[in-house]
Parts: sequence; structure tokens; C-alpha cells
Amino acid sequence: MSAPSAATAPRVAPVSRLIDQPRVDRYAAAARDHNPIHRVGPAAGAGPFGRPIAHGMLVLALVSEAMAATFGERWARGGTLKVRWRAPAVPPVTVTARATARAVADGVASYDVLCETDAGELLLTGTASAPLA
Amino acid sequence: MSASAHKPSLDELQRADDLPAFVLRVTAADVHAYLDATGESPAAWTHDVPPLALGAFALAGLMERVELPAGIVHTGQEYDFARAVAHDEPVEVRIRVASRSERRGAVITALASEWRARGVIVGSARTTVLVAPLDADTSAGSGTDASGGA
Repeated sequence: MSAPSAATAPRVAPVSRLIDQPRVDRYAAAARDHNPIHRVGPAAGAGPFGRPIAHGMLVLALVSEAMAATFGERWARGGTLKVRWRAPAVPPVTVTARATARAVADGVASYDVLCETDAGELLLTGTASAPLA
Repeated sequence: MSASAHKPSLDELQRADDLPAFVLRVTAADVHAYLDATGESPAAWTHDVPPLALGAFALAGLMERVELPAGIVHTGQEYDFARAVAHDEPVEVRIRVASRSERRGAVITALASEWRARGVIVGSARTTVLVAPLDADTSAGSGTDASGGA
């Protein structure tokens, strides 16, 4: 149930992105996370998914991007994020991050956030908040 | 940034253990590469580091300093961003084992991180990881990043 004040929270536009293996490889290099579970190779093939999975932090980056697009530098100086991963993103997959306003209280807007695939599979759920000023 | 010679395994760590602090210095090139990978526009980050990028680099620092077992699952992540960090600004990262528990053979560890610049807290994080028993199926259920922390 949404709090009455949720209507005053800025709308956070969804962010969608194709997460394919080249993007995962670029992320591994950029974020210095070279866990073989994310690379094409025997380790990922022998893992529980039989193929590489995307970094959870790469999926989470879509939520951060959506919040930053709405709140700008306020996201970096007062934002909060709390999530649990629900399922892996198996490339290639298009992922969408969504934020639904929950409330505005004490100058802070809070949201329920999620990332899901085009097929509607939930990849992560949680909450985010950012200061209004 | 370089890891210390002794790299403890996650199994060795106990509640309230501190990992050696380290300093992150995220350059403009680091930010550019990160944003190229995530797909986010760099327009908003010409001076500051995207806060989640700082989180990602702090996780990389953690992975350099702790031996993570195969089959580790990154189940949860929390962040509090207190202020923006500029490109090249040194940030000290301190990581402590916040909790460690066992449930049906799975070991769940929460690592609390604090980021400081010029002695002031600029952000904090809590990373939760699960190590399932070797014969457990981690392909469903409580989150399956399995990325070893990132």
C-alpha cells in the first residue's frame, strides 16, 4: 500500500538495457571482477547455470542510473540502496530497472525498486531513497 | 592499490574481524570504462565518481584481499552515499565482518564497509554473501549473483 505522500515523490523513469556477453566482459575489466563464473569458459559451463551469468552489480547499476537521472548529484550525497538478488541475469537478456514511489518523509523520497527481464523474471528487489533538496 | 601478502579466506574470518584498510583512487579513465560497461551516460559524471562505481571498486578491493570460495553467492547489498567523491580523490575503505551465521549448512557473512575521504565518511556499504554446502543447488532461491561479491 502506498503512503499518501508517495504522490509527491519525483517519478523515476525506468532504465532498460541489453546485457550481453561483450557488456559483461567490459564490466569485468572495468570493475576488476574477473570471477570466471562471468566469462565464457569451463568454470561458467560447470556452474549451476551451465553458462556465464552477468555480475549482480552490473544489473544493480541500472537502478543507480535511474535514481541518478532523477536526483542528479543528490543521489551521490544522500542516496540509499538496499537490495537482494533473486535470480541471475543470463546474457543476452534485456533488463529493466523500475522504481515505484513509496513515500516522502523528512525531505527524502523513497521507492521500491526492482530489476526484471523482458520475460518478467525478477532479478533483484529492494528499496532506494534520495533527498529532495 | 595492492593487497597485503596474506590473503585470508572468507572461512577464516570471524565476526568483528577487520580487514586491512586500503585506499581507492578512482580516475576519470576508471569512471569512463565503468560507464562504458554499464551503459550509463557519462554526462553527469565528468567530475564525480558514480556512487555505485565506488561501491564496485570497493568490492574489487575486498576481492583482492579475501580468498572467496567457489560457489559463493552475493545475496544482498546495501549502500548509504553521504557525499559525492571527485575523480582522483583518495578514499580510505575499511571493512569489518559485521556478522557470520550458519543455516542448514550454509554460511552467511555480512561485511560492513566504511568509506572516508579527508577523514569524513562519504559512504558505507553492507555486502551479504552466502556459501552453500558443496552439494547444495544454488540455482534458485535466495539470490544467485554467484559473482564472488560483485
